Amino acid sequence: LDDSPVRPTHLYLRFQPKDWAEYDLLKSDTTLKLYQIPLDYEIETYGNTYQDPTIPQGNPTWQYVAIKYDYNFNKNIKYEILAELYLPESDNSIDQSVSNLRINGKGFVDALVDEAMILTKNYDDTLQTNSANRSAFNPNGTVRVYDTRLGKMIPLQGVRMRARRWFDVNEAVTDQNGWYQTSGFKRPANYSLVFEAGSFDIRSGTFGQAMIDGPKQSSSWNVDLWDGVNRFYAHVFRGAWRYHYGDVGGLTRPFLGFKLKYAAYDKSGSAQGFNIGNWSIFSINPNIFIYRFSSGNSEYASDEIFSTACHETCHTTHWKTMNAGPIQFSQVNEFIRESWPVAVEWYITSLEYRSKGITNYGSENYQISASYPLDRSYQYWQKSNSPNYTSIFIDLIDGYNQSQQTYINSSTFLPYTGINDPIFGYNLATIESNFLKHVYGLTSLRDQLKKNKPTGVTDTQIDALISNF
Amino acid sequence: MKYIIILALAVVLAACKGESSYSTNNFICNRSNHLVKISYYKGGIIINDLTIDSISISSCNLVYESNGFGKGNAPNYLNNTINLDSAIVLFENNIYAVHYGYNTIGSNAKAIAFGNPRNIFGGSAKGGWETSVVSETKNHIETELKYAFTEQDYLDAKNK
Repeated sequence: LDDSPVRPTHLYLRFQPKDWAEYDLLKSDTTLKLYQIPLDYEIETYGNTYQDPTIPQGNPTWQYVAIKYDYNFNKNIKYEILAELYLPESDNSIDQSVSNLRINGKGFVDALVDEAMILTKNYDDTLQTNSANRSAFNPNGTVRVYDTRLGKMIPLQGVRMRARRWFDVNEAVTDQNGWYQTSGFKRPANYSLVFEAGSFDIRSGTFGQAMIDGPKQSSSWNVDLWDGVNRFYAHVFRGAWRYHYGDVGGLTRPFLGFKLKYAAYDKSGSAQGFNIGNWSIFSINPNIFIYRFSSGNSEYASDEIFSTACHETCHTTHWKTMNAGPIQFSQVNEFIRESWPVAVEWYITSLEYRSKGITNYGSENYQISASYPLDRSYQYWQKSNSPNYTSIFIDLIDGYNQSQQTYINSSTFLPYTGINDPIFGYNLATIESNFLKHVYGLTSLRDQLKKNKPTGVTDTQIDALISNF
Repeated sequence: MKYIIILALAVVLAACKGESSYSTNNFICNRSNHLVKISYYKGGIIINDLTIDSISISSCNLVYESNGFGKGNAPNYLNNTINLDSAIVLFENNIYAVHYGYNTIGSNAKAIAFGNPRNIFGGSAKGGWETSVVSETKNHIETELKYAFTEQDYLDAKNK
């Protein structure tokens, strides 16, 4: 046996993180292509999640992975070695003269793997004899999601796609067209889609990775998310991805020293989302919570979910802007703390949907049944709408004075004119970078606006706008 | 040390205040004994997007819904029609009523002017559109806005 050229190339093992802190620690090693399902089983029923029945709900389930034999993994996390593997396709020590051997028309490695598949009765994993099927196949496809506002499928950019053939995993990230292509396999691969990017993660509820287990096949896997919870995850992901990596007009990115965690709930909430702060002391808590349904059990429209993801992410960047301090942030009054994300969600969502063809999205003449500020750019705001979720930062940058427009009050049904907004020319990114950290309420906002006013804006105009709030 | 931890927790809790929110549903109902169809007009052109083809007898059509941040007056359906000129409410048997919009001063003496309690565009605090609070908690309010056509509306239209 010692003369045999077969030596273990990989270890097949599983980790059991004792809590979500360890889970995050494990995942921080991006070399590990972790799965929550055993890699040595055929999957009969595909789904979104798998929890080992021996692990209590709410705790991280076993994480399965195959690693190079000599890889130095974190041994402080409980693990079990399930098998030593010899993966001929990864064996660089096979002599060239041997690998060039042809056996029944197949290369040496192909013939060896075929024999292993036959011995283990995995006949579907053997190579076909015709030469066309012998070349490597690059798992690929396109990922799209249905957008209820646009009424059509749109590409989903940035999600992680995985193709696994038993213990070997290849990954790719979808591009702006939703297209992905991993490096090649010669045999069928198990596909999966993970709603995760480098700096954030979408959870399927409080805990658990939002993901889709796909089919095992040797052809393209095209994913169309027409409806259901996966469509919801996709729109949360879109909002988060744009804020982290897309065009946000120069606004601060929500990059923290850890992955920002979005808990996406497939249920209703009293609000469409909330943010509990930039905490990750134990890596257990999600930071942002987003709900699929309203309190009346209506499913939010795609742009509303996108916008909510931006609104809640903006709380993260606002916190970060306040010198990254909870003490400073806690002193910002609710009027500023909520009005700022109102403007940012309106701005980013408008950028997104204008780029997708609704050229007047987010303008005062764009009327939709939707959460404010998406409907008519929130120009109908008056104090009785909400004293804290106001249009003030939108009014600083838009070019529309809503005092020329009449609206109807929802309580009295009497007409009223919009507030006097003579100001135009501020920029959200400039406000954020220049003076947002000095703004704690209306008075300090007025002072900072006057100190930092753009050309053409006067103190009188600033006073006129501020007097509405 | 203990006090520092308590202070830190207090700061965290202050910084983690939850969002407040609203939800609203707006309905147009039919309490008359006749089907109702509503067509809106602007500059003499029918606004197809807003046309309500049929409101069955004893039923309500959801014409607007919104859920959002902030606990206060929600946006409403009437802001979608505020810039329109008029609406024609058609009952069965070709009986119809003309409702004038907010800025419309027309020559039709039989039209229901903006501000009249029975005007579909609003403008009156009583007798037409009604609002009610369906539920309310500390951080959330759910409201309902409703306008209902009555048999008297049909009779008024018929006798004009």
